[in-house]
Amino acid sequence: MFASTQFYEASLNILKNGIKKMLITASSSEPSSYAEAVVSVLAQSTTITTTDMVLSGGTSGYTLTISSNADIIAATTLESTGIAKYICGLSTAGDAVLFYITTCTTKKLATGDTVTMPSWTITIVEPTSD
Amino acid sequence: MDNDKDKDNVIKLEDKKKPKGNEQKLDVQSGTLGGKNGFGGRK
Repeated sequence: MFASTQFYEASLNILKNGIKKMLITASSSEPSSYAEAVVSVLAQSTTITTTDMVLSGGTSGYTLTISSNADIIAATTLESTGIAKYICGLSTAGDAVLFYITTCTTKKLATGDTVTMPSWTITIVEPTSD
Repeated sequence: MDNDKDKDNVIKLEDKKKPKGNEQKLDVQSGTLGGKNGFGGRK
């Protein structure tokens, strides 16, 4: 079985080029839309650029690494108190696309807190037979 | 002297008014799409 480099790159570049903001949300359930993610925001990143995400290929697939650098995390400010649960990758408000959701450490965030997140990844592995 | 003491007190009170938050480290769950689990999508 085989998937081309173009396939992996195109799929992950949708995220790399499309995600402009990371939100930490406290939804009791996973957001299912851009609007739902925005409503339950606890903190959000500054604008993310393509340099904050690095695409790399290997023999078993491709990985997009989301950096922990200052552009993404250090400027994150707490907008509301609550229990952090989801990390949402969103487009600009104009496009209003919810690109990706994952979970994070479930932790209560209080007024004045700052948030740091180590780098994390999204990987597409090579296809295998069912 | 008294003025200096007052100055110290003002600074201390201001510090108390503005509670310092904690640095919260959140580990993010990395994800894998593909393989036998298919190429993602909501389940």
